[in-house]
Amino acid sequence: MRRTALTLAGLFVALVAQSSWIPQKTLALAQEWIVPKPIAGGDFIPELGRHRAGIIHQFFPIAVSLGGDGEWAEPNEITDFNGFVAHVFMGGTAVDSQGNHYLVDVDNRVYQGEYIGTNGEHARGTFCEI
Amino acid sequence: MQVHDFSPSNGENIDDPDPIFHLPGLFWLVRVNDEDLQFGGDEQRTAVFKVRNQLLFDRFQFMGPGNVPMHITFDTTYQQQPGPPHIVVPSTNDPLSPFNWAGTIFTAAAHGTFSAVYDDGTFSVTGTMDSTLAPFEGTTLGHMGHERNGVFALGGQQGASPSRMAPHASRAVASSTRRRNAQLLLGGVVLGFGFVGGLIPREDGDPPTEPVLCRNSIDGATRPRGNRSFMKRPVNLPSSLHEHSAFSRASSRRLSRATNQSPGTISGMTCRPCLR
Repeated sequence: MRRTALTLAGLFVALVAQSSWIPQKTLALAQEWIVPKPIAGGDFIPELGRHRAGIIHQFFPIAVSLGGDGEWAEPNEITDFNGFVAHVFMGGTAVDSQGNHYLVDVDNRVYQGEYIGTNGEHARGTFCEI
Repeated sequence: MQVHDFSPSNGENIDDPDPIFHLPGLFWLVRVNDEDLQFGGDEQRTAVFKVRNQLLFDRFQFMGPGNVPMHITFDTTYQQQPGPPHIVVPSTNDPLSPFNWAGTIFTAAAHGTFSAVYDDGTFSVTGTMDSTLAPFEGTTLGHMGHERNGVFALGGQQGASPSRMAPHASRAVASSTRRRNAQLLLGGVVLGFGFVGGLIPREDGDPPTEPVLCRNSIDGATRPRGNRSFMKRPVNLPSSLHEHSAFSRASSRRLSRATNQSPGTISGMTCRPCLR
């Protein structure tokens, strides 16, 4: 039964992949490398305007008193991962082409290492969140 | 290469059933070249991450319509802070918990620069960033090191209860990982992650590091998180949006003291108008 389901899923993807509305970058993505899997857990985002409520597969590793999940909450959004991770909150300033000034808050994360991809295969790569 | 277009702060559906775009469930994630991350400094405690002209499809303005093709340049230096690493052990085997991971993690600081340009040339922005300027006080602002999660968090002890994994067991796993990474390095596979955290030598005689058990009794699966999108123009957002945003709450508090205006956001970052 499981094999049948997987086969049907693969067929569906294959059929969809023939559709012209699929962005080429997405097809290229699937063909070139192994896509990592997200962590199972994550934070809840309520319905906001144009998107429905749901879980995003990422935690906010900062003190609970500041609205986070705790300083030692999972910093990674990729699961079955083994490697380097860096995650630092930063602030700063910016100016745009019109001369408008901004204060900037940055939540930047970098991951490099081995992982088990969505197809079950072992892979290695470097990722960042921008 | 951008792994996923999904940016919840930009209004995309979180649980969209679309099997192509949202099957992985990843967001804000970009695959870059391994060479974009380099390690150096004393004892390899510095990591430099440089991305040049990275193509992204994102929306600058919070809740704005349509993704915008853009190129971003990002240059960040991460620095381990002095002191021993935290040996993180899973405090639960609940896959939904934020504390079901392991690692050898240092607290870290960072600084850098960035620039972003719409491909149609209608907007560009440049800026600087530093962890000392982060809008949070009284909390650890960053971490860097070697992490294991999922199947790797068990350290080969499939079926073992992570909650019963002793700190020394975790250290043994970390030590094993260091040896494995060293073997990889000797084999010519130079991976930056091996230099930091996982390869930091710790003698057996070192004073034991307190394990970080992360037993904060919170439910991460139901906690709202902040939006993190770039804002193209200074705008006032509906107050209801900020009620659900940890980032915006913190930003609003600080900003209200300075400008009495609401913050906005840009992808991966939260930007607020700065009165000059």
